[in-house]
Amino acid sequence: MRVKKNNLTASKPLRLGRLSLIRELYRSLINNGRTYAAFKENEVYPLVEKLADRNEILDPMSGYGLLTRYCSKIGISAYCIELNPPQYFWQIVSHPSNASALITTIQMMKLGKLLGPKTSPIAVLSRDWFPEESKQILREIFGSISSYLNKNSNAESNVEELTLSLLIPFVGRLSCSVPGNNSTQVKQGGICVYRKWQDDYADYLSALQAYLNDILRESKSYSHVVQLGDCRTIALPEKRFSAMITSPPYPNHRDYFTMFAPENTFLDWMNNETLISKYRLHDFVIGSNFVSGRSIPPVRTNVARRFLRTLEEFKGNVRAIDDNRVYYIPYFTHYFHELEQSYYNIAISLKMDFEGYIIVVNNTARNNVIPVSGSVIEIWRNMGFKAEIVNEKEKFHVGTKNPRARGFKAKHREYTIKVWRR
Amino acid sequence: MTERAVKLTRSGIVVRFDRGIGMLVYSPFNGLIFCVHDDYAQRTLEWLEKKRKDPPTERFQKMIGPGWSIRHEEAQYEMPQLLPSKDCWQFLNPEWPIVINWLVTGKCQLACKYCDAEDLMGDNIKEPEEGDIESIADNILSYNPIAVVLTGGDPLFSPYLGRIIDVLRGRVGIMIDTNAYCFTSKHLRMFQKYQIAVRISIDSEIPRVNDELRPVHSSFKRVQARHPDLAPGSLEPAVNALCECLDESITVSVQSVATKGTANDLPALGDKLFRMGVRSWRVHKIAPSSGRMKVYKELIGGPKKERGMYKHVFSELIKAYENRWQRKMALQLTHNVPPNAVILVASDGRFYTESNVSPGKLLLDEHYPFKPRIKEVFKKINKDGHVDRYLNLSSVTEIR
Repeated sequence: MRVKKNNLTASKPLRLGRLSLIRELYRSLINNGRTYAAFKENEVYPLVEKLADRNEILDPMSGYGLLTRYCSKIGISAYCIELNPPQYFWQIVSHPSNASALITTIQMMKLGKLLGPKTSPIAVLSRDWFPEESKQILREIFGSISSYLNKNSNAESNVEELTLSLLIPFVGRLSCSVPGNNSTQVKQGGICVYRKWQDDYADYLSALQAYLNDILRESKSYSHVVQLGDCRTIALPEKRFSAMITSPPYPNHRDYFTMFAPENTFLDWMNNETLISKYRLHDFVIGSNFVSGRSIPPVRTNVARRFLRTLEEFKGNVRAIDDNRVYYIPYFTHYFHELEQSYYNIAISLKMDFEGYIIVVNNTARNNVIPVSGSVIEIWRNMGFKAEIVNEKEKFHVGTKNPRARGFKAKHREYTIKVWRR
Repeated sequence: MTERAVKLTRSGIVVRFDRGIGMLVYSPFNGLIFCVHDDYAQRTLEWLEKKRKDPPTERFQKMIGPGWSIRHEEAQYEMPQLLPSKDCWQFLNPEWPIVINWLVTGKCQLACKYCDAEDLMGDNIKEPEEGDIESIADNILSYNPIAVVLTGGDPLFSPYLGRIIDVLRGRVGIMIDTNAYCFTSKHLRMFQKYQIAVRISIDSEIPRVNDELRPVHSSFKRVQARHPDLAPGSLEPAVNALCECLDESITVSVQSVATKGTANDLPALGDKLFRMGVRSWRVHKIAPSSGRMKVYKELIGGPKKERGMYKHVFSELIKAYENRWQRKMALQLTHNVPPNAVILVASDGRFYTESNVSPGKLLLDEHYPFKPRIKEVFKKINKDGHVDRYLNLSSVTEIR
C-alpha cells in the first residue's frame, strides 16, 4: 500500500530562519545548541574534563542543561535542576536517553497525517498571548504528538512530558508576540500569522530531528538526571555529589520567567484546561525583576550588605534615589538572599571530597560593581568550604540592559570560582 | 497635451509618456510606479499591450510583470524603481506630477499623533458636494498624474467614494490610503472590481503601541460607545481589512510610520507582513517641521536621535529586504525630506503642498487655487523630492 505523505515529508534538515517566525531563543538552541546565557563549550568543557573522574556533576541552576551535553560527550552523568518549566522541557528534549524516542516520533509524524484546523485565517491580531485559533491548533498538535508517542514503544518516560518537550519550542510561533531588541525580550500582543504555519512546523521538526541526531551521535552516557525544582528549597539526596559546575542567573534585570512568557502562559492555560497535570512555576525565579509587594528578606554576606549600603547612600538626583529605593535595593536584596538560600540548600548534598566551579559575572549598577563573585566566595567560606577565583576575564556588552552602553556601565567581568572542601 | 497622456494598456497596467523622464508605469497589481527609459519604452508598451510576448529584459518581467505576466511569487523588486537600471539616467525631470493625493474628505475616526494634515481636516475645510466631484477630478486629471491617491481623513468615510472611483477609473491608476476603521465587504467588492490598490496604515503590531500613536478620535468615542461592535482600537480593523484584502487577492500594501516607540519592532513586523503575503511595504520617517516640533521631539527624541535610530532601523530593513524577503516584497523607505514633495488636493478642490518654512499647507497657486498653473506647481513642489518619493530613489543610498 502506498503511504500517503503529508507536507512534512517535503522538508529537509535545515537551519531555522527568522521567517519561520519561531522564537529566536529556540531557533538558536536548535541551530547552534545554545543561546543567551547558556554555557559556552570552550569555557565549560575543560572544567567537565577536569571533573571527569567524579562520575556525576551537579548543576542546580541548570537553565538549558548544556552541562548534560558536555557530560554525555565525556561519558559521565549530569544531575540538573531547573525551576523554569520551558527550560526544563528543553533539557528533556536534549536528554540523550530521549533522543531516539523523539526521533522515531518525528519520523512517524512525517509519515502520518498532520492534524490541525483545515482552514485558518491568514493572520489574527490579539492583545493576549494566544488567540482562540492558536489554542485550537496547539491543542490538536498536543493530541497528535501524544498519540504518536503512545504508539512509540521507545517512549519509555512520561508521554505527557515528552509531548510538551516537543511542543514547547514551537509554541511561540503561534503566539501573538513581538520579539524584543534581543533574544531575552518578548512583548505581549501582536499578529499571529497562520498562513503556511504547517510548513514552519514541518521545518521545525526537521531541524529538531537534526539536532537530536547530533545529540545521539556524540553521547557516550545516557544516565543523567533532570529535575524540575527550585534549588532554594528542593530536597536533594544528602552527601551525594562530589562535583558541581554551575552558574547563577546574573543580576542584570532579566527575568527568565518573562523571557519564556508565551511558553509559561501556554503551560498555565493547559493546566487550567486540565490537559496537563503540573508544570507551573510557583515562585519567582532567582533574579526576578518583580519586586513590588514582595517582603524584603535578610542578606547575610558582608560583601552584599556593603553593596546594598552604597545604593542606600547613593547621591544622585531625586529620581535616581527613588528608583534605588523602589526597585534597585529590593531587587539586589532578593538576588543576594536567594543566592545564599540556594547555596545553603545545595551544600547539604555535597560530599566531603567535593570540588565545584561556579561561573559568575560582575556587572555594574549605579557606578558600582555588583559583587556577585565576592558574595559567592563569602557564602561558601561561611559554610566551611574553601573558595577562590581561579580564572577571570573582561567581558563587554554581554547581557547589558542597554547594548549601546559604553565604558564602566558596560563593564562585565567573568569569574570562575573554585569551591572545594579539602 | 491635447490627448490624455495617461493610458490604460491591455495588461491592466497604466502608462504615461513623459519627455523628461521616459515612460512611467503604474501597476495596479502591486501598487508600484516604475520609470522606463526612453530606449525601452516602445518595446515595453508593446509588451504591456500584449502585442509581443517577451518583456525587454527579465528585470521588467520581475518588476512590472507580477500579477498579469508572472506569478507574484516570482517578483523581484529592485530599488530604485528605474528600468532597466538606474545607470541609464542622469536626471529625472518629469513634465507632469507623478502622483496627486486627493483628500476626498477631511473626516477621520483617528487622531494620529503625527498627522500633519490637520489644517485640511475636520471643520478647517469644506467637504465636497456630489456636484464638485467631477470638476475636482477633471482638474486633477488635467495634470496627467499616473496615479491618484485617495486619502483624507479616511476616504472610506466619504459618501462619494463610489462616485469618485467611477469618475477616475480607466483614466488613471487609483490607490486608496485608509486606516480601515470602517472597512466593509462593500469596499472590498469595489476595490476588487476596479483594481484599486489599497494602502493600510499599521505602525506597530502591538495594539497598545499602535493605539497610542493612532488613537480613536475623541469625537468618535461617543459613536463607539453606542456601537459596542466597533473595534476598541485602530489596529484590529486594520489587520482584519489587510487579511480580507489578501484573502480576496486585492492589491494591498502597508504603510508604517517609524517612531522611537515602533522602530525596533519594524523588522519583525516586516517578517510577518511578508509571511502574510503582503507585496509592498512603505515605511515613513517623521520629518521635523516648525509647527510640530513638540510632537516630533516626543515621537523621535530629537534630530540627533533621529539620525541614529533611522539609520539603524532602515539598514536592518534593507538587510531583511535583501536577505530574508529576497526582494519579493517591495520596500519603500520614505524620508519625507523635503516636506514639499507631494501635491495635495483638499476636499474643497484647492491644490496645496506642505510648506517647508511655516506650519500649515501652502497653496500651489494663489491666483488659481483650484487649477494651478503647472509652472507654479513646479515652483512650489520640490521636483527631486517628488520623484524620489514615488520612484524610491534614496531608500538604499541614504543608508549606505
